[in-house]
Amino acid sequence: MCLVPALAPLFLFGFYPLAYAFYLSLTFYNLKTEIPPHFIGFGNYQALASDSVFAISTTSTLLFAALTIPLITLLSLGEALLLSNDFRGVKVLQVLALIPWGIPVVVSGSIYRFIFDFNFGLFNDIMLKLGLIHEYQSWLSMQWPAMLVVALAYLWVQTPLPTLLLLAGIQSIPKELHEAARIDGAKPLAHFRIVTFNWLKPILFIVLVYASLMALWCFDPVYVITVGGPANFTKLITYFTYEKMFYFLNFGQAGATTILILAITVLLIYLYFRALSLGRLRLRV
Amino acid sequence: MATGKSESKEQTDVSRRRFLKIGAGVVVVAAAGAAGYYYLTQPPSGPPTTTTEATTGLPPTTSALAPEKIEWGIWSWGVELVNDNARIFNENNSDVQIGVTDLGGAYTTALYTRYQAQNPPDIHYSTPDVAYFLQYKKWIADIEDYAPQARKYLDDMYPGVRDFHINPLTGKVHGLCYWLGPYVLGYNESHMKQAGFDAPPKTYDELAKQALAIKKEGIAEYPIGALWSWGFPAMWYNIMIGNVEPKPGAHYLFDEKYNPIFADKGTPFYDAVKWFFDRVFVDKTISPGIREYDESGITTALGSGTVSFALAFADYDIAAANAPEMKQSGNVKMAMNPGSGYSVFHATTYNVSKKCVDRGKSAQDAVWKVMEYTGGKTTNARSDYDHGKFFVCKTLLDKYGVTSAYKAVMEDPTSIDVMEKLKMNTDVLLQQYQKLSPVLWLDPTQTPWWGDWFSSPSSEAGGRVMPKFEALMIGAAKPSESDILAFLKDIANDWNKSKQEAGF
Repeated sequence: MCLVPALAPLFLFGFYPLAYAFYLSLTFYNLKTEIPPHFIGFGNYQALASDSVFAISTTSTLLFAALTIPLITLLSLGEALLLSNDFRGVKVLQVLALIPWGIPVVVSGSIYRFIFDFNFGLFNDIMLKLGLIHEYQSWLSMQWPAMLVVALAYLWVQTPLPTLLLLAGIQSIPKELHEAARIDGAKPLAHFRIVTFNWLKPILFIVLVYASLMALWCFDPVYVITVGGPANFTKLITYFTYEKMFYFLNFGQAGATTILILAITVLLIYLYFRALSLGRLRLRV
Repeated sequence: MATGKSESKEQTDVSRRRFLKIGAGVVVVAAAGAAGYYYLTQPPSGPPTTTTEATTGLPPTTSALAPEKIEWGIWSWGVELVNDNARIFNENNSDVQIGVTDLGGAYTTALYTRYQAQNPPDIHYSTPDVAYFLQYKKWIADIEDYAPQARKYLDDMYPGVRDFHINPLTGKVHGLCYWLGPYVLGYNESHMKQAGFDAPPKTYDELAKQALAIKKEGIAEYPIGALWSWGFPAMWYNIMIGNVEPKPGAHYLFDEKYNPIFADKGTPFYDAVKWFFDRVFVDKTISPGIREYDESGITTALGSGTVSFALAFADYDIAAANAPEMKQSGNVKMAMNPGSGYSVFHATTYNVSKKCVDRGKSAQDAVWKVMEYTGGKTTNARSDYDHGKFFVCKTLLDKYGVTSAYKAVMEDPTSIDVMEKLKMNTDVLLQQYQKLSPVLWLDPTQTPWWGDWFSSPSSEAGGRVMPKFEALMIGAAKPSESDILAFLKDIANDWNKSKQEAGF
């Protein structure tokens, strides 16, 4: 009984919307037709399967994930290794490394949009002055450059948290392990592989799962920078869902896409908790 | 020792509790302060404390009954002015009181959500796609059904825009004009003269020639720009009607039964697309980066001299490109759409929700009063078709240079003065007003899926045609004639599929 006040908001704002989204996914519900909403089973899922834009969106999301997940992991690991050293100014660097985390992704997107603007962007100016291009380029009108710009805006804001996690992990490595490796004459790479990397494995797994979740949920930079273009190349699955829901007013198909994203999210969260429990086991050892 | 530690922990616990108490107190005080400020700054809803003598002999409106409340839904532009206009109305009309609701940047989403929740604003702005969709859903009412005098306002409008204010499904006037912006050809006079031309292009072929000359002189790399995103459909129609004069009953993309008629060689759309690709791939006077030009982008491009030509709005774009801080201030001029001289326009109207008029006669009269105030003629904020002035429309023009559908507003000498100060060539603009075509919105009419297919006139989101076109535009090689035909057939099939799904 005393749990009701706590559970009520959870059901109202958590489970009910999910259940409604699932219901919508099984319903033909398109506000832009006269056909009234009605049950169609898995018709929306079938329609998505034959929707070429959905296929492009899925591919774009996979490409985006393939691009950003390794980059986030490697960049944050590199930063964490750097920041774990003791040198003058490391504390300042640690603070500076965390600052982008406080910037909303939409702001980051706006900044990058300006940097890569066709006519006035700083990037074009630098590239021209360095002689790497002979005229200003419209980077956001080219598919891969546009995708990279979106990824950059996203990475800038998303890297600090994994850096922090890995830094904490590195700092928790018992000194005795480092000393043992040193005594045994391990070279730096072997030292890293056998001591640091092994110790960080559970945290790296957490970072991988986190990065996967964030890549799946990425929306802001697409909305601000490319609006899904050029030619739908940067239309990630979240932006596709947003368009279906709020622009095309096709609630049924938007619901279906939401459920698909939810299914992948649940899987990733399961992996996340597995990684967390592995991490806790490691800490106990 | 343990006692000392527990004492210090207790002190920490007490400190944390104290901190939380203080924090909660601050939040409560801040919330109470915010609520107090909000209520204190609301416009008075009671009877006016001052009444203004009516100059036409109309008695001031007073009523012992509670005033009819009308909710006016707006988007986040000119909010202060809107609130001021609402205040003026409220001060002069004790029987009707306006409450303004800013529906925010995601206006269409918020508006549709309100309608779907059966709680729409009583009167609100509509872009053409929004108006059509709400008409299709029968969520808005034709104002003429409740105020037949609304029809008289068509005579006050320029001929080419009258049909736009008529609901194509019912033939009745659905709302009065909030804003009407013709597309004009903005051009950089300095660039043009440097390239050796005395006058702006009269045809699209001349435009291509002038752009190429400007490029060869090294004046601008990609001289031709355009408002992409929500200006995408207008660009195509302007090129088509420039090349093929829009005679009454002429169709460009669809026939009377909404069947696509463009997917063939030699159609106006085919020719327009071919013309465009020749500029991109042959002359290289249009950059694929044109897709980056939203409204601020094209304005800045014109104002900085990055582009020499662009189809744009006189008020928002040409005027802004000529702002004092712009490098090309004073050089950006207007010309009529090349070719036939006819141009399309964008417009927004005031529309009334069905929910409002269903409240009864009092609400119907009230909302008409509000609509006539915002989009019609009044004296002292009270309806006065015969002797009144377009107060709000004129205020919008005077304060922001916002153009209108009404001749009396556009041709008023003080309006011309304002527009000239904003460096809008009013002689050209008024000539363009005489040659406006509603074909962008009436070909033969919009449909519920028109914006989804082509491009939304109310947001940056593109329709399905735009990405397919972009795929050709950013390709490595110039699309061949068969590529263009394949593209046209693809989008025609897409249209037919949507038509079938909608049950048309």
